[in-house]
Amino acid sequence: MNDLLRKQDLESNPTPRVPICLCLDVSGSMGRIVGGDVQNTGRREFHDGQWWNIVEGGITALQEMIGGVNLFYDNLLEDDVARYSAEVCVVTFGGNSPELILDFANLDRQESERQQKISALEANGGTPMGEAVNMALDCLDTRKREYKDAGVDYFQPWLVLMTDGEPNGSNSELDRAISRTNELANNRRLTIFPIGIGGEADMDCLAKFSPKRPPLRLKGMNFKKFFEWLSASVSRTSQSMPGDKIKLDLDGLKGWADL
Amino acid sequence: MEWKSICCAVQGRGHAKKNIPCQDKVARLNSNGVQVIALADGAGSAALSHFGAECVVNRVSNFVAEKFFDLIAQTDGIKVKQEILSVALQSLTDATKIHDCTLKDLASTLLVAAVGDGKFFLAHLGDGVIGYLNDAGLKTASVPDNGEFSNETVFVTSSDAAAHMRIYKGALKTISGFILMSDGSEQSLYNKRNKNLAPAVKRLMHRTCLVDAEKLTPQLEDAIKSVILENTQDDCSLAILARNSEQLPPLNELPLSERQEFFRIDGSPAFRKVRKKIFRCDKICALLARPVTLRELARKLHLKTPYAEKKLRRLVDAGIVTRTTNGFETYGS
Repeated sequence: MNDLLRKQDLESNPTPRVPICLCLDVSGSMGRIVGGDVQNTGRREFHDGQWWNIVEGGITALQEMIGGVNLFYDNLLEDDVARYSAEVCVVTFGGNSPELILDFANLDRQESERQQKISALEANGGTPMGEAVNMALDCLDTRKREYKDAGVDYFQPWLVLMTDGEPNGSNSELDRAISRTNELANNRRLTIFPIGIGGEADMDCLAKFSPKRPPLRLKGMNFKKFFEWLSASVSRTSQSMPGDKIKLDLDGLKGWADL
Repeated sequence: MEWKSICCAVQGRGHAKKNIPCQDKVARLNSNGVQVIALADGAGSAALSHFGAECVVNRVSNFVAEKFFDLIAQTDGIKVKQEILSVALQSLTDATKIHDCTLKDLASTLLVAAVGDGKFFLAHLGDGVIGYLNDAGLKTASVPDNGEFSNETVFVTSSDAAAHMRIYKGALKTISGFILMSDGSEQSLYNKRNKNLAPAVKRLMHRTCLVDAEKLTPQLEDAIKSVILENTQDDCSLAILARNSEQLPPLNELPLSERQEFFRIDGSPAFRKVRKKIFRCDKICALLARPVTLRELARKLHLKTPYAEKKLRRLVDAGIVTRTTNGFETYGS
C-alpha cells in the first residue's frame, strides 16, 4: 500500500555518523624491524633519540600498522551500516610536526585517496605527540560543527592514539593536548583509546590522555586484531539507537592487548 | 468537523534481527468529547522498556482525557508537567512490581496530543517530533530533545525530566491535524536540517479523516514496513489526530481522480462506465452522511437489498463507510 507513503513525499536524513580519528605514530622508531627475514648491512644510524642497526628486508612496525589500518577500512566498508555511518580521519606524527593525512569524509569517497596515502606512510623523525593530538581534536571539533550545520546526527567521537615511544615535541602542546582530552573524556564528549606499541611505549604518558580507561599495550605487533576489534565496535555503535548505552566489548580486548 | 485518530507501531530491522520486541508503543482514545493520542519510545538500554512505554501511553492518555479541561485551565505549567510525570512514574512504579524490575528498566520518552472543545494540549519529553497542520500548511510544534550525540535523550525516568518536558496549549482555530512520531519515523517524515515535516504527513492526516481507522491501520503498518523501515534500523511509530478542513477537504470536495482512488475504482475516468461507478459511490456516501440501514439505503438507491449490499461492500472494504449501531455511515462525515 505504498500509495499511502510515496517515496517522493518523504525526507531522507543522513545516517548518524561515528567520527573516528586515528592519531598514528610514524616517527623513525616505527621503521624498526619486527618480523621477516633480514640481512644486516653493518651500518648504524641515530634516529628518534637512539642508535639503530640498518638492515635490509624484514617487516617494520609501521608496515604492520598500515596493514591494520587498511583492514580497519576494509571491514567498515563491508559493513552495511558502518560503511555509511563511520567517518575516519588520519593524523600522523613523525618528522617535526603532525600531518593531516586524510580528512573526514564518507568512506566510499575517501577510498582511492586512502589507498594511496596510507600505504605511502614512512617512518621518519621525532614524536610530536601533543601537537598531533591537538590537531586530531581540532579536526573532530570542525567535523562536529559541520554535522551540526548540516543537521546530521552523530555519536560520541573516538580518538585512537597509537605510539611506540615517548613524546619529544613541545611540552606546552603536550600539556594542552592532555588537558583537552581529559576535559572531553570526563564530560563524556570523547572516547579515547591510547595504545602503546612494543615495550618502549611511554605508558605513563599515554595514561595522562585518558582519565577513564587505562592505556593498553599492544600484544606483540597484533595490529590486525586491534583494528578488527575497533571496526566491530564502530559497527555496533553505528547500529545503536537513542537511549542505547554503547558498551565496548572489553573482553574482546584480551585478544590483542596486555591488560 | 469531527476529529479522527489513528496510531501504529512497527518493530525496526535492528530489533527484528536481535529478536527484541518493538519498544515503541502508541495509544489513542476518545472520551467525553476529548480525543487523545500518545506515543512512547522505550529506551534501548532498558531491558523492559516495551512494558514501560505501554504503561506510560495508556495511563497518561487516560489521565489527559480525564483532566483535559483542568490541564488547559491551569496557568502554572510546572504543575502540569509534574502531574503528567507523576502519573507516568506511578504507572511505571506499579509495573516494577509486576515485572520485578527497577524504574530505569522501564524508561521511555513521551509524546501526547489532545483536542477538545476547540482547544488543544501537547506534551513532549525526549526525542521524536510533534507536528501540526493549519491553514498555512505543515508546521513543527516540538523538535526532538536529543543531547549532543545521536544515542542521547531524556526519559520519563530521568532525574531532569520535568526540566526537559515541553507543554503547549491553545485554541485550535485553523489547526486540523496533529502528528506524533518516534525517532525511527522521524528519519523519513521530518527534515532534521530545516526542521520541516515531510509532505507525506499531510497525506496521512487526510487519510486519517476519511478512512476508517480499523481499515487504515493495517495499510499504514504495511506502508511503514515497506517504505519507512528501509531508512532506519529503529522501531517506527506514528499517532495522528485529524479533522476535515480546507487543507484536508471532505470526500465530496475532492477532484474526481482522488475520489476514484479513495473508492478503489480501477480504470480511466475518461470512460463513462468508470465515472458512473464513481458517481454511484458519491451518492452512497452522501446518503450515508447520517447512519442508514441497508434496507433504507436499498430503497433510496432503488435497488434490491443484495445489490445495494454489493455496492456498499466496496465502500466498507475501502474504509470509506463504517458500520455503526444504527446502520452504515460515511466515516468522514
